[in-house]
Amino acid sequence: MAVTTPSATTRFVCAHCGDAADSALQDKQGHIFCCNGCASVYGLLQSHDLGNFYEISGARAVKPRDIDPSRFDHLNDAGVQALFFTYQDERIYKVSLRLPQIHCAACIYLLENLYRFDTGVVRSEVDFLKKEAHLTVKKAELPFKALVILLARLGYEPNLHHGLDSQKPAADEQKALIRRLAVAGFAFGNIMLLSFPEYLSDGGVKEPLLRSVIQTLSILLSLPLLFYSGRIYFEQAWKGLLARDLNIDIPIALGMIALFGRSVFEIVSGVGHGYLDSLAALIFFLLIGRYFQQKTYDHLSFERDYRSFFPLGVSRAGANGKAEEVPISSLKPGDSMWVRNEEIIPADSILSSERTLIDYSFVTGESEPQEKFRGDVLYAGGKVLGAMVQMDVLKEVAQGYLTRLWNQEHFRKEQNDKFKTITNRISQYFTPAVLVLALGGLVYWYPSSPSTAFQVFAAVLIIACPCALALSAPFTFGHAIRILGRNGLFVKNSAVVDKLSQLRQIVFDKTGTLTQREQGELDLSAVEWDEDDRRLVKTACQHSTHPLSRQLASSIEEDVWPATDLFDEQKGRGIVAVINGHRVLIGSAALVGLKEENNQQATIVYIRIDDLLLGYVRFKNRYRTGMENTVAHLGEHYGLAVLSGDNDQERQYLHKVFGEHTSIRFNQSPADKLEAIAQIKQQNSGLLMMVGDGLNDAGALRKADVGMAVSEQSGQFTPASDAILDAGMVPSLDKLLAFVRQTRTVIFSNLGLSLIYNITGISFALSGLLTPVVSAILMPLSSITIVLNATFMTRYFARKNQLR
Amino acid sequence: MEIIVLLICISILVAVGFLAAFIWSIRSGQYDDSYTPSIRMLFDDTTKTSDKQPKA
Repeated sequence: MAVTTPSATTRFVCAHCGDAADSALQDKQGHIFCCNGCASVYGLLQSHDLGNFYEISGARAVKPRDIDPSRFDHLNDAGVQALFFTYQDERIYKVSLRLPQIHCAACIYLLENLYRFDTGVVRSEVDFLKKEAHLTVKKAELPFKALVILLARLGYEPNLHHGLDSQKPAADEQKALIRRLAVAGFAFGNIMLLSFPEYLSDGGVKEPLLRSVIQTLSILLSLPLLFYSGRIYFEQAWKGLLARDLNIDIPIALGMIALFGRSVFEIVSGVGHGYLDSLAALIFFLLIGRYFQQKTYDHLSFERDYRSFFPLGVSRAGANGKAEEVPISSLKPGDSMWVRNEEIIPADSILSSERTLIDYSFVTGESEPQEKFRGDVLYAGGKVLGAMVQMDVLKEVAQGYLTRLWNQEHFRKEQNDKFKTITNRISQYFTPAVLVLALGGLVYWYPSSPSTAFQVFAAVLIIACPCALALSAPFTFGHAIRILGRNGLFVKNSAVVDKLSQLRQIVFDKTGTLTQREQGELDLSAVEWDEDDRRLVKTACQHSTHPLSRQLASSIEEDVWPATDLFDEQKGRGIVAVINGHRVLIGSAALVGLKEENNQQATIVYIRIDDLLLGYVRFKNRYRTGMENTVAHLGEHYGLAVLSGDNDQERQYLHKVFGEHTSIRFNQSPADKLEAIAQIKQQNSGLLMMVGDGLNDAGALRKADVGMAVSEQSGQFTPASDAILDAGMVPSLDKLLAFVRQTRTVIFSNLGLSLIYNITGISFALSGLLTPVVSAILMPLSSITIVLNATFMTRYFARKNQLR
Repeated sequence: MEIIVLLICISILVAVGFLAAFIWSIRSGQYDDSYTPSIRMLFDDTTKTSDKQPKA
């Protein structure tokens, strides 16, 4: 174990992390290290008398990484700190940090001895299973930023996203459940003990005083049992009744009331002993079942992986001042980025351009754009209107925040009568059927044996609990969301997966979806321009997110003008900009004042500067490789259609790919596209999905049952969409959708399982063979089976479709 | 017979006491982390291991 001995160093392994090491990197005692980081942490540990660390860890420590302290600058902000602190006063603060690197006993040792590194640490305690450290720190000696840097230096960089989406409520719920369980267990044990004489053959206590004391105590004990421990079921049932929804807790609540009412009646009227022992056992086992269910779910939790970011990109200012397209996940505080017209600001930032207009309607619902000036703070979720602006990132991109924004009420679709979630469809028949069966059992048994009748009634209600059904869909879809996210399809919520699985029609936008946005060929031979003209054109184009503008901008070598005085992007027409005193028009024939010519052989964009028409640029579309196959596969399952904003010169090719009978519409303006979607929806039954780039078809995306935005490197965040597809994954759309279709198989197999289980259970219960207690034990078992089945089958289908 | 009544009452009071103790222990966070303390107790308190006294 002791790796600080010479024998270890001769094998050239790093004395700190155990990796292969270079013998050139030695300290005075001859210890060898793989990198400077390890050497410095080793030195740090030795100088603070923490050498024990290596005896516990066996030289398998976390490898420290180079850190840039300025990355944590935002942690000096009091508002940011308040997000993390669980307590603070003038002297100290308490903070719980998530340290994903915690992996062994030595980590606990090191982190709990943190006070040796810095006297500012008053107390540190590690929760190993949650990989969290709870720290109490003196404010003056070790500010929050310094604490984070200290941890990062040691190789334990906190996951600072975690504080934002705290899971406190879940933990409180868990605690409340344990309390309820404790009370139920207490009541259960004591009522059982008090009922003991009744189990004997002579039928209970005859002594009147003792008998009445025992019975009174039993009823008293069952009160907290019913009204504290069993309250969750009543609350849920009541909520369901208020919402006029026969939910799954109603049968259980009814069963409890039946047992309790009958028992009190029997005891008070002196007919019998009642079933308070059964009731206590029932609630106790129901709660145990609930507890284990919760544990299982936590374990299989499909909490969105914070690494599976939206497949979106932004333009970041690189080292040389040139813009580079990077995924938003790699955006760090302090970075400078450019946001174009209509793009959403992905992270809180400070404006460094002169002025801009921001539309915060996604955040506040207020549609009046706000004017912002240099130095103003811009909040994530705002939309830039007008010319491209530069801003400095203040905080890391809050994925959770964007997701919440996406799920906001006013982006919800208008309710569609055709669509019902799979669970609702089943449960609207399930609960009434169970109630009828239970009442039937009661009526059937009552004449011969009233006590059996109530047992049967309660047993049927409890065993028929369709929890299994209710859990099946959320779990299956939850896993599907995670798997799709890993494969570049980011889905808004599980209802969207449900819709995707019931899809009948797919409508494609052509440009940017079927065709590749940035690698198309363009023909500049019909333009006469000099260097200045090219600069103007590039400057005008860079503000726009339209694929043709991006393509044109990237084909021009010259530098851009720093300032644009006016920028106006007219959807479906083109760009009007005033730069350096020149009026630049780039767009359709109508925009530059020509008559529309319909016999063009390619997509044509005209360029006019001031009054001079320079000519036109001819764009040749390049279709994504593999699209023919994808379309053929999709055609087997869905009705297809294509909408294109361009002219019809590619009609032949598109008909060859999509088949002769596919409806393909050309020259579609954004309004036409919207209209087309409405028409196709009317003509065809079943759900419709629109796949587009979200630029000039945002309305159509919203109108469709499912709107899927295809995101190229720098896609824009379109809250109107329900799903964002990484452009590279468009050719795999058939596989993704095949997988989504198979989630229905998973749900139906669960349905089958639960049906078999219910039929068997209910028939035993009806014949009086099953007591409520046994039902209460069987019920959670069935739910857990369903959850496991959902998890494993979803994974199996993902692998079958070659998804990661 | 009265003595049994008394005994039952006392036994339930004792049980209520334990229930209260258990609920208190949940509230005070004793069940928040049931794993780390089992490791923590194994660490030695002495940590004076400077390089002059190499470990065997």
